[in-house]
Amino acid sequence: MPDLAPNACEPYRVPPTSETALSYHGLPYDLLEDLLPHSGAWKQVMPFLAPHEEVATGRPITPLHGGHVGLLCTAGLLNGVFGQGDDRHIARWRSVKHVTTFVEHDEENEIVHHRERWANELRLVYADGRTLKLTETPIRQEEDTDAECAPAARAA
Amino acid sequence: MQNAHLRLGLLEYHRITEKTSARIRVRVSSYIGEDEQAHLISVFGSDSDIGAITAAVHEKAYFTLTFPDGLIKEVTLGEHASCYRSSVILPGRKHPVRHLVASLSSCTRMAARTGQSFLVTVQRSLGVVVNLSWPSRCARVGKAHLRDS
Repeated sequence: MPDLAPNACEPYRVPPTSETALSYHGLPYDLLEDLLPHSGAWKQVMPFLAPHEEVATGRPITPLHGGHVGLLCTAGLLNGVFGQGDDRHIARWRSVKHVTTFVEHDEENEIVHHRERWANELRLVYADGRTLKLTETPIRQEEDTDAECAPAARAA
Repeated sequence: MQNAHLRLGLLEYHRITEKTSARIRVRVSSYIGEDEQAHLISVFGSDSDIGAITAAVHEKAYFTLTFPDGLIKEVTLGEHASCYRSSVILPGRKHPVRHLVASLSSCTRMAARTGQSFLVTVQRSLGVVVNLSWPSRCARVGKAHLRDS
């Protein structure tokens, strides 16, 4: 089949048309993005996902001593985001129940004892990914012998 | 804000039966998950689409989630999922947009049982947001804010 020569036929010129406007009939995502946080579904989820917490605000009547600050921390009233730069971190206190189990042998019987005690621990998550868990119990010992759980009222 | 389509994800559900095959795609505004386990999904779409997704959540179905950066992941909410639905009325539109938030039944209580922590920041006027700047197990599509205290 021979090649088609450049001037074999007259080129077709596309006729000019009037200006047209493009229209979008899909969902308006920008508007929806602004409206969705106010939807009823989010309002139903919020109490479960982010329960309201008491946070201490305002100026105290008298200057706080170190013991006062400690009491507020352990009560969970000073949770939040603190620090600047690499030291910026989330701090969260919570009460943890430690259960120590030990077995006592009495001749033929074996008595299992569960000793419960409550302690406070502080978890820190830094902006660069570091995490810290500060507790009164050594971590290794705690992992070996204790089981922990938090009360539902302190759920994060 | 503008260019919301760049911050939205895509949730796809493909159901194949003996006689029919259905593919439902809805937009995702928020997502929190860990590996294939989704903890919270917020999607919106038409009434029929949201109804189908709700039924699929209760059937413990797997979904194909596409993140704004193109990452694709198979996720499921598994058992004990709860669905919360509402309508968003748009001016000039005949039918409202349906909004669905599906989450594990009280994932906060679940976090307390398993010792996991979820980094979720809340701005009361804007709803629930998860900050991407904090390395965490959470993933988020959409706006990101950090509350100072």
